[in-house]
Formats: sequence, structure tokens, C-alpha cells
Amino acid sequence: MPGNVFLKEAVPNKASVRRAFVSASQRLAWLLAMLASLTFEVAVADGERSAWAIALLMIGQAVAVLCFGWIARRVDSRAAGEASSRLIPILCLAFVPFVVELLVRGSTQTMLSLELLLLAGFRNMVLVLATFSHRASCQRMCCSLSTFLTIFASALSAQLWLHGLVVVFAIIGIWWLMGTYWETLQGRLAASSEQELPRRWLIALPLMVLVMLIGLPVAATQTHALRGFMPSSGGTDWYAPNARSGVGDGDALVAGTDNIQSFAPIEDAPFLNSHEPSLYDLFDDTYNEPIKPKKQERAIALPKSLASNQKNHDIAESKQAGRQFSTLRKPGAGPRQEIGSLDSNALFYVKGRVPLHLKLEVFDRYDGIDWFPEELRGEQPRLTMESLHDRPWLRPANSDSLALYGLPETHALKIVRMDTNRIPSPTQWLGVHIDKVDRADLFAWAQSGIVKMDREQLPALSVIHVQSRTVDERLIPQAITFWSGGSDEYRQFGDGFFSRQVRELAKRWTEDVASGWPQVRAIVGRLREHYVLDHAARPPADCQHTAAHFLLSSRRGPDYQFASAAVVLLRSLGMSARVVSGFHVEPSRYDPRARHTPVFKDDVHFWAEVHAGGGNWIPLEPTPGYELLGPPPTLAERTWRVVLVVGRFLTENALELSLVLMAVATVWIQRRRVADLVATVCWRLWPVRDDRRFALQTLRLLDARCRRAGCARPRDQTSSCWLRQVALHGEPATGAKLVVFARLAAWAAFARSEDRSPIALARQTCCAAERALRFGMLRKIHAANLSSSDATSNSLNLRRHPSRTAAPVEDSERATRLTRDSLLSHTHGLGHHAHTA
Amino acid sequence: MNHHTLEASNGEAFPVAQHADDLADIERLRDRLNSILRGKADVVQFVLACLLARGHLLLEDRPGLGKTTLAKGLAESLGGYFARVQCTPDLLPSDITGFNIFNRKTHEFEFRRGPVFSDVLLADEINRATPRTQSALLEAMAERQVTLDTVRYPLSDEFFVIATQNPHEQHGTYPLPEAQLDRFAMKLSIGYPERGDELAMLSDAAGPSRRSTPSAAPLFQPGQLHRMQEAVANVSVAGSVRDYLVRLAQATRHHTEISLGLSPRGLLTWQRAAQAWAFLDDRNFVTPDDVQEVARPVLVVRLGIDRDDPQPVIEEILSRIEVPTGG
Repeated sequence: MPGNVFLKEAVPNKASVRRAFVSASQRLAWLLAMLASLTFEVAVADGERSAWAIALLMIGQAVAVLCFGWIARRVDSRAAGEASSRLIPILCLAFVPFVVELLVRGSTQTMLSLELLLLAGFRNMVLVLATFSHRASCQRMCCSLSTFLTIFASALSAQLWLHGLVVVFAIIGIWWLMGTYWETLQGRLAASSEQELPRRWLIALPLMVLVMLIGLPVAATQTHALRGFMPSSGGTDWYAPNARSGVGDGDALVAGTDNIQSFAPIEDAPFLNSHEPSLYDLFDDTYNEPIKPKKQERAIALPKSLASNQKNHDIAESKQAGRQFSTLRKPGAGPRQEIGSLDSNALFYVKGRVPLHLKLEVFDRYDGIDWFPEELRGEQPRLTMESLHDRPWLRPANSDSLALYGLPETHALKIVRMDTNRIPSPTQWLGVHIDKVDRADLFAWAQSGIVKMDREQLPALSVIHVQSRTVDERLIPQAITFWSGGSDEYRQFGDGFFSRQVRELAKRWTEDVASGWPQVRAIVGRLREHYVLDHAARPPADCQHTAAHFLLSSRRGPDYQFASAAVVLLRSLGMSARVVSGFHVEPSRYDPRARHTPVFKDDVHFWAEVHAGGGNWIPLEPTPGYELLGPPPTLAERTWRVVLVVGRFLTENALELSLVLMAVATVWIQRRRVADLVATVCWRLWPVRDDRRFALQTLRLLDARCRRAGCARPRDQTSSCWLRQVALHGEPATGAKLVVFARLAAWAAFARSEDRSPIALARQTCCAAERALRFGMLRKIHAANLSSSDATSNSLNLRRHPSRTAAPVEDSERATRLTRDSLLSHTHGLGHHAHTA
Repeated sequence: MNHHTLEASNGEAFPVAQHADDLADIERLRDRLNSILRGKADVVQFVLACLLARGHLLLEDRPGLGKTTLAKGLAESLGGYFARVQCTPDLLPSDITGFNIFNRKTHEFEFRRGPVFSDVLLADEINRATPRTQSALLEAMAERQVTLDTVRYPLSDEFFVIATQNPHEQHGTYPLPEAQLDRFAMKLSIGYPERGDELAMLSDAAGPSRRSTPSAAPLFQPGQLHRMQEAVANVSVAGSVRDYLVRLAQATRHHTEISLGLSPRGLLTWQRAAQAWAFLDDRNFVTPDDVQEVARPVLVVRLGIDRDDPQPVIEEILSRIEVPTGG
């Protein structure tokens, strides 16, 4: 009889039972793994994570290892004897961190360095091996890897107490060694581990070595493929934020506060002097050298001593402001190199909203070729030092400012190497703060609206906070006049041939618009639309009036040509205007990870300003491709922007979103079926070993399925009774299976634990019942129930079935028939043996 | 072997080996009772359960529905000594228990045993006896002994009372008091037979092919019934099922329409009846199904329900208590 065969199989295997308990050496192996993991986590945190975070992480890992270990033990004790080493999946786990790292790098800016990634792989292996540490081979490997991990991780971190951890690890390790030794002595000489490398490894290992040997020469030339994963150090001149050593390569460098070996733009870094190019060299580097007209004059050579004096004098002067800027420059694009190292080549960093125009110098007079820097005229507002939140702020005395500006905002400039003493300042600066600099006499006016420090250059590696306001274009009155106030220099305009041509052009451009701000907008708009920015374009060397040449003939040029053209045009209409040079902070260079924008040599820029009276200058940006910073957005504007962004995202990804939405909706509508599917899959994948509990598990599954399908078992009805009733709706054969299962489930639930199953093939019976009671079938029953006249109850229309009317069930077929009969009799009325007739 | 027959063979694989012979005998008894009382298989099943639960049985129905026939058939089939008392208003207690009589030869009183000293006692139309006589049965039924003049006379181990009664609305009856009713394990009604069964009955009773009356030979060995009753008492009851029983009992005590709830003795009887039901189903454990199946005949006899039809109240109590699912 086949049933007996299966019954024999159902007898639990004693060896497997013995394996299910936790040996001492296994507990020690867990401890070792946890210690190793802790060491690793401490090394990764590197002082940045709190002890609580690490402790939580460790508790999570320990719980995971214990839970999964328990499950693994159960699974192994069931799959008796075939605990084949699944080392390959475990090895694969070592590579998981790399994949995760790739994804993380794809999405965010953070990254781990290579050695930590490798160790993370080892850590994963250790944890998984600890989970399977009830297997002797896994336990041994777990302990060896733990040792490796501990040693290397502790070497990575400078935390002192890690040494203590290592010592503890060593002690427990020795204990473990003793434990395993005694356990082996205690007599499992049998199954002496015949673990030899499988044959495929004999082939695979040499193959791997061969591939590596072949690959090495290729890899040697293609090492940049490893960039980012292998941050190296020392002068490779590329940027790796996570390089942990070397010079000038990454953010993880230690800020040199005590012993300066490196630098970082931090607030408390000591001031350093460096020999960097001066501000004017920057302009010359970018726009090429000015053409110096070769005026040969007769001269007598000075004596040597005097000549050297003269030279020194020149150099000293070049550091001061007040050098004119020639718009006539040598041809060719400037040496615009690709930025190699984001950090090391930056002049300074800007923290705050960008794009930002930072003024360094103001020019007022123009002779057709050269712009001459403005000179300080008249009384300048007095500079006073105020204390705000215990920090010294330098402020100009109040001047009569017009209501043109938005709300004040603060930018932080982290100066790295600026060889000037002028503070780059936004449109209307309201205050400057440098930490610990609390004396107003350290500052002075350089030009109107530009402050300088009373020293050779700005302190390198210091942070300058600048408070400023930007012009809100909506607040500019349309009929504003732009010639009230301001000295004549700002209106200086020649009356030569070129000047007349320019004036005619300006009149032509503005003939349709009202005077005042609309004229300014018309001129700036015209320049931005019809003129081409070309850094390489240069006027001919004999050009007499570069602005007129740019406006009338070439129509292309670098940004200083746009700025001077705009100023000349505005002046031709009688307005006060001036050219401003400085830096344009590029929003595209924003570094989201560091949350600042670096400014490079290439970011020097020229733009124009128009005078609105009372010392208020409105910046204009005539160069296409450059933008002025608007006022800080209000809450409504921000909301609207978010709405716009979201709306754009929605419309751009309409197809994908609708697909996702449909999928979600489908899942939601079919959530009961999905939940049932999940439960069934779990039931199938992780069945319980014990027959009795498996039957109960199946019963719970079917109970939940009935509930989800809408025909839940009434609380007062027994499971077997319910199953028999449901069985009536299916095929007789499937119904029979359900009846047999009902009997098995009753045994599982209520029989004594020592009673054997009344049904051989218990598992097959459970599976057959699961197949017999399909979700779809239950839904049909539910639908039929709802449509039936008696739709008041959510459950089946059938109630507790009456007494069985014949012999105990021996045959499932007969049982079904009987149940059907009894149900019929029930529905016809139950009054056979009623108390009264 | 195809799948279906495999399943069928599973169905057969329910044996609880030690009771196989007993169950075969019970099957024969069932067949015989079924042939005596046509179309009333459910009643027969309850009668068997009551017998195995070692409880006494009260059959209540109108005259002529086969109460006495069933009782007689059962008694004959069981073997052993069968006694019958036809209860009338002038029946005296000593007519049931027996009495002392003075023996002139020995000059001693000697005990003349009454019909209770039997294995099966049929008390026909018990509600026609006076309450005094009815209560004479009390001690015999509850304690299986008779005490007369300070002498205790034990009754048979298999002592089993089948009482029949007509519904008490009829004339000349004395309704059984609650104390008396609580000593019965079950109360069953037989009800009128179906049309087909009546046709068969008529054809059996008339004509040349009259079927001979079933053989009256006993089906059980001496002591076999007692052994089976012991086996029933050993059927296991899981903790969850016991809890279920207690919750049901408490529900009867707190029900508004029940004046007299279930007594602890009644609860014990209920459990034993459920055990018997499980035994009949060839199981050695009780499921909530068993409890529910036997609930009606067990409760109907002992609950003081203030209604003519107690069935809905019992149904309501059962539907109010959550069934244990085990696990």
C-alpha cells in the first residue's frame, strides 16, 4: 500500500533533530561575526555617526542574523542530509555592495571608497555565514573572515577603543578555537569533512588567473576605468571626494588647523599667504593681453639701480586698483581650459543663491578703447561695525535707497586664492562679516559700492559673509529717469563720428518706447537678442571705437563688448551708466553635495549698470547666456514653481505614470487576490516540516482565502463543516479532497500530540485541498450568494449543517454525498427531531 | 492507480485499530436499528451516541411513532437482561426498585429485585407515573445503585435507561421535574416518517412477502459495551474544545430566555456525548463539530427554556460563541 511508504518517510529524522539546537561554538561564532561587523561599522562611520546609530545598526544586524539563522536551521533540519554548501550565492553577496554603490552613485553624490566597499563585501559574507553557522564549514569560514575583517577594519580607523575590540575579539576567537576543538573531539569522527574543491573549481581557478594575467596589461593602460573606485593620491589632478589620503584630491582630507598639511576653505583655517596670480592677471588670462600701441619714443636708459626701482614700483602698482581696461585685445580665444580639478583651481566658493554678479571694479570713462576705473569722488557713506547675533557686521551708513530692492539675503564667499583686497560684492551690499574681524578701520571704500580690506589681499581660506539686496525689476517705476544724480563721468559721451552713429542707433532702437526704464529694456533686449557672444572675436588692432565697431559692423564679441556697448548706448540717450567687472557665479557649476558653487578664473565677467538716482545702481546684463539674480522668491512663487515642475514632470512622463497608476489601481482592485497570491506563495515556499502544523498552516491559508474572497467562515461554524459546505460548490472530485482535508485539519487542530495522522500523504492532501479551493471559485460562490435573494448575509447561504445521518465517513465520495444530502435536508427544514412536532 | 482512487484509498485510511471490531459491531447494531425504525438514521445515531456515552435516553414523541419498538430493539440487540416498566399513575416506587419480603421459612426479609436490576430498563410512558415513582428512578439512574432499608444494592455496569414519554400537553401526565430530566443524557424525538419510508413500512407489514422480524440475537459480547464506554471516556478533548464547551455553558447561564442554565453535570454529559460522537466517527479526539452535533439533544433535555420551541435558542447560543480553529 503506497500510504505506508509515505508514513515511513514522515517519521522525523533523529540526526536532523539533533542538528536543530545551537551549539556553544555557534554562539561564539555569532559573537565573533558581530564584533567584526561592529569594527567595520565603526571604521565606516569614522567618527561621523553617533554611538547610538551604530548600536542600532548592530542590534538590527544581530536580530537579522538570529532570525534568519533560526529559519535556516529549521530549513536545514528539514532538508536532512542535503546541506550542500551554497557558497557561490554567499560569494555573490560580496559583490552586492559594488552594485549598490553604482546605483547610489548614479542617484546621489555620496560614495564609499574602494577599501570600504571591499570590506563591506566581506562584512556581508561574514553575516551570511554567521546565519548559516550551524553548518561546520560555514562556521569556520565565518570565523576566518571575521578575523580578516576585524584586523583590516581596525587598521582603517583611528578610534582608540577599537584596540579594545580587537583584544576582545582575540579572546573570544581563542575560546571558539577551543570549543570547536573539543566538539570535534567529542566524537563526530564520522563524516570527516571530505571537502575537496569541486572539479569545476579546478578549471575555474586557473582560468581566473589566466584572465587576470591577460587583463593586466590592458588594465594598466585603461586604469581610468577604475576611476572613482580606486581613488589614488598625489598630483593626478582629478577630483575624488572620498580619497582618504594624498594631496588636494578630496573632501575627506583633514582640515589643517593645527598642523597645516592641506587646506580647505573653512572658517577657522589660518590665513595663508600664497603666490597666486593677481586679479589683473586673471582678466588678462581670460581676455588675452591688451594691445599696447607701440609708441617709440626716444629715451635715455636709466641707470641700473633706478631701473630696478621702477620695476618694483610697477609691480606694486599693479596690485592696486585703478588700472584701466582696454577693450582692444589680442585675437584668439583665451586659454579656456577644461576644468580639471574642481577644488584646487577654484578661486573661491559661493554659498547661496546663484547666478550671482559679484562686483570687483567699476569703470566710468571711456575713450573708445579703454575703460578707466572710477575714482572715489565726494563723501562716501561711513563704514560702521555692528554686532548681530554676536557677530561683527560691517555696514555702510544709510543712504537714501529707492524702493527697488527685494528682501536682503546673505551669501557666503569662501575665499581660496584671491589676490586682491577688494571684497566681491553683489548688487547692493548691506553688510560684510568676516569672523573675528570686528574693527571698521580694517575696511575702506575701494570704489563706490565696493569695499576693500586694508591689507594686501583678502585673507585666503577665510569665509566672507556678504549681505545684499537684489533689484526687483517689478518695482522699477516705468517712468523713472536715469539721469538724476551721478557725476558727469557716468554720462561722458564723445561727440565724434562714431558717437553720432551710436546715438542714431540708440534712437532707432528706442523710438517706439517710452523714455525711462522701457528704453533700457529695449536696448538690453536688443543686444541680447541680435548680438552674438563670441569670446574669440576681436576688433581690428587699429579700431578707433570698439563699441561702435561691435554695434555697427561685427555684431559679435566677448562680454566686455556687450557691456561697453550697452553703456555707450545708454549714455547716448542721456542716462548715467557704467561698466562693471567682476565674477559671474555660474549656476551650472553648483555642487549639490557640498552645496556651494565654485568660481573659477573663467568666470570673470563684464556687465553694465544704470544709475537710478541716490547712489542706486541697477545692474543690467546685456550679454546673452548670462542671467541676473532675481529677488528671493516668495512662498507663492515657490509654490507655483513647484506646481510647474510637478506639472511638467507629469506631462513628460504621462505614459509611464499612467502605466504605473494603472498597475497600482489594478493591484488595489485585486488586492485581495494579490494578498492571497502572496500568502500562497509564502505557504508554498516556506512550508512547515511538521505534518500537523503544515495542515494547520494550510487551514489558515484556506480560511484567509475564503475571507478575502468574500465568503468568510462564520465565527460559529467549524472549519471542517465550512469546508464541506464550500466543497458542494465545486466538482465532486475536488469536494472529496476538501472533505479529506477537513478531517486532516481536525486531527491537526484537536488530536493529542502523540496521535499519528489519520491520513497518509498528509502533505499531498493539503496541497490537493489548496488546489481544490481556488480563489476564483470562491469569488463565484460569493457572487452567486450576493445575487441570490437571501443576500443579507455576507457569508454563504448555508448554516450549520445538521447531524450526520449515517455511518462515520469512510469514503470521501460518500462523505461528500452525505454532506450534500444533509445540507439539502437542512435547507428543507430541520424539524425531524424537533422538540415538538 | 489514478489520482481519484488514490484519494479514495486515503479516505479509507482512517483506522483507529483497537476499535475496529467494536465499530463493526456498532455498524451491525445501527443496521438493525435502522431496519426497525425506517428512515430515522439520525435518531439511531444519537441513540448509539447516548448508549456509548453511558447516558440515559429520553424519547419523547406522540404515540405510535416507534419509541417503544426502538427501545425494545435496542435492548434485545445489546443482550443482557432487559426489563420493562409500563408506567401508570398507580405504579409504586417499589414496583421499580424492588422490595423486601419476609421469608417465612428463613424468618428473614429477603430482597426481591425490581426491574431496575437489569442491563436495559425501558420505562415506557414515564410521564404517566406519579412524581413519587419517577423520583424512585433518580438514584438508580444517577448513582447506578438502589438503597433499601440501609442496604445498598449496586446495579449493572451497563445499566441503561430508555424512557419514553408523550408530550406533556396530553391528559393524565406528570411532567418530569428538572432534577429528573438532568439525569438523562439526551432527549430525542422521532417524528413522522417520510412518505417513502411509510410506503416501505406498509409493504413490509402486509402481503405474502412479509419480512420476518429482525433476529433478536444479541450483537455484543458480555462486557463489550462496557469496554466501549471506557474507550469513549478515553477519547481526548483538546484544551481549546474544553474551553469552547465552558464558554457555551456560560452562555446558557446568562441567556435571557433560559431560566435554568447548564449544570456542571450537564456539561460533563455534554463532553461525554461529544466523545461518543467522535468515537462513532472513528476518531480518538473531539472536535467542535462533535460538540455542536450533540448540542441539541443534550441541551434540550436539561435547559429550562421559556419557550415552546427551544431549538432557536440553542441555535442562537451556538452561533454566538466563536468556534476554536486550533493551532
